[in-house]
Amino acid sequence: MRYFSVHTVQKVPNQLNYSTNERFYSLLTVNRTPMSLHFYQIIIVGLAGFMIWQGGVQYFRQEGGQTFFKFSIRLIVWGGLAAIALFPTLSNDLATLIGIEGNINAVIMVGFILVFLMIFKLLSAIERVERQITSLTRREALDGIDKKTTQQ
Amino acid sequence: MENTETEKMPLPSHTPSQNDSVWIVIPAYNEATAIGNVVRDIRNTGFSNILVVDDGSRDTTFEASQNAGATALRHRLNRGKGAATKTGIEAAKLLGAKIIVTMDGDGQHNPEDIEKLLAPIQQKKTDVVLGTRLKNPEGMPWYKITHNMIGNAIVWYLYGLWVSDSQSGFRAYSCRAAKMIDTTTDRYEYDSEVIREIKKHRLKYSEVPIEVRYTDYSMGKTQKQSLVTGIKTVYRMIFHMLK
Repeated sequence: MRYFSVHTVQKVPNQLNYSTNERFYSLLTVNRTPMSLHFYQIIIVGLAGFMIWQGGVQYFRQEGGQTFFKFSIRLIVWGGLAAIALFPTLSNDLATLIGIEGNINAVIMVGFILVFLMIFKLLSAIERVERQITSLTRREALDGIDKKTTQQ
Repeated sequence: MENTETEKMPLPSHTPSQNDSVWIVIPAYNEATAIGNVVRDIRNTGFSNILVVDDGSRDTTFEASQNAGATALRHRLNRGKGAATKTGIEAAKLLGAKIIVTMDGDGQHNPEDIEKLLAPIQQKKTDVVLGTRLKNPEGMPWYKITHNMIGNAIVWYLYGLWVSDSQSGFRAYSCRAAKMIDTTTDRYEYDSEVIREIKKHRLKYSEVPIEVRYTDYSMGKTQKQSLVTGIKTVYRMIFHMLK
């Protein structure tokens, strides 16, 4: 169900017989056609805009521990989400461009992401245990000082 | 935030009572060769409250520190420079320190510079004083200067605060700053984490040029900062941010 109709730029449709280079250049070729927006697209773009605006304000006012690194991550994640919401075919073009168009490639890609997540989870667990060991080691080292200050 | 130059600031005349509330914290790992002289040098400059945290050394660092007149604490396991420094700061807070100075245990820091670090805090101008090698890099190898500049850029990028020597271990903290700064990392990334905390709590800080004495001993250590440990440090800093 389409709620709104706005004019915006849209790329020419992909043609299957395009070479990778031609496809890449086709991304740059635009013409003016009417484009209708679904409700979810407006919500996502609005939300992304708000998140980027909030991060930008925090960064320029130096508030909330916002650093350039955090702001750039926010810009990439929310900006990317908004771009894909507005131009859903962008993900297909991106998949073609980086070569994960086929099913097998997609499965391998998902596998990589899963392995990465598992490693990240494992490293987090190791980190937590390391922190506990440090805490215990510190408590033991400070034991003598604690007793000394209590006696005083 | 305030970055005050303190080179021209007059040094206060120290009375014994002022020095009594200053604690010098030295993390040490396998430093038996140098730690005794480091402690004695500090005592000769008029500071008697010295805390050495032996970070699970395999040599006689603990005994050498005690024999030289320091209060020695011992980590049963090696936990890293950051963890040992934090233990020392916690101990100094328990012992009623008003100002805490941290410095390395290999003798590369000159104890004569301690007073320069204390001055801005004693005059209540700043909360944290960072000793900086790069404002007086004489005798510093070029690769160390490059290494530090890269470190500064990464710290600025990740934590949003530019300082001229983000990896220096020679620093002074007021009691207020020591209570506010809450670090969680154990190894060399500790020094950068302190910068993050300064920014987070909007602490006033200043940078003071310090002398660094690179000796054959300090340059030959196996546990010193190197390119590999530098890469590991950056990796851990990013990992901590993503968690």
